[in-house]
Amino acid sequence: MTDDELERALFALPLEEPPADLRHRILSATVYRPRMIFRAAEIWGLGTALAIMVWLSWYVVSGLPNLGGKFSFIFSNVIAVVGAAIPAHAWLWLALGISSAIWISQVSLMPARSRIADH
Amino acid sequence: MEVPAVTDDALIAASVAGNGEAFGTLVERYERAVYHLAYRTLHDAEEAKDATQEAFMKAYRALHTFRPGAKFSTWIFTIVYHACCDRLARRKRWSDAELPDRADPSAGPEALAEAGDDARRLRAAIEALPEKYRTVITLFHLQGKQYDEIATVLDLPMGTVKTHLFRAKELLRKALGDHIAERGQ
Repeated sequence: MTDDELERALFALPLEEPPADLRHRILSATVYRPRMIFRAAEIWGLGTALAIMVWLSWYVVSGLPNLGGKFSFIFSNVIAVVGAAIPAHAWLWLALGISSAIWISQVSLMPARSRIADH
Repeated sequence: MEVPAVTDDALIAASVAGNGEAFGTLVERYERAVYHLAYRTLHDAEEAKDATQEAFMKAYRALHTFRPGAKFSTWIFTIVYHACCDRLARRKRWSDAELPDRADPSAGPEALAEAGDDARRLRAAIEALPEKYRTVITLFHLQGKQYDEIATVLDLPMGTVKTHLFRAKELLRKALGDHIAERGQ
């Protein structure tokens, strides 16, 4: 067998057939992958800031004497004042508003096409 | 009149700009060749599938770093070849076997003798090659006589690529010649 014959046979050889679902898997893992709302670095930053805030709050509050009593006094006063200030039907609207806001925030979690690019 | 195909560079630019369909076209264009290289290197369909997916994921993430004017095929082949080498090294750590050659046991002389037609015989002969020759011959099959591109993918000097290719062809000729001689007796 000559070199030319071998090369011709080699180039005529069909490539391996990839599995049928391979392209779908690749595209699902790349262009169609849902984008995270926050980047990993942002999540770390937010987590750290939150932990520092919690620790600072605890540090400040734990230094106060009679903490439990003061806390329940403040809490019950706030409830009483807010309860008196807002009429009963307003609570219903408030609940509706909050649940709508939560629902809308869930809807806006879908990945925007333009943001997929910089993923 | 034939419509000119969109170049890889244009598809890459569109992908970087956020056009998912452009990247889909690139995948469609190179999926088969990339899988072929992974399969020939790893000899395992499932691992080849994973390595192919991994290579395209890496390419997608690093697409903005792709140098315009370079060849996408060389770039993606380099990525998948490295992914395959990582998998082979992992295999070695687990099995402590000799590194790259996990040749298909069905690809021995018996299989060669049983292979029905020329293409199957040639494929069996390629399978039976040592890994370094098999990879070079696979890339030669995919890239043609672009020795510099093959050298880039394998990170080898061009002279070594040519030597490997020469020896690989010799071994193939010998394997196929032996078979023809056996048939003639």
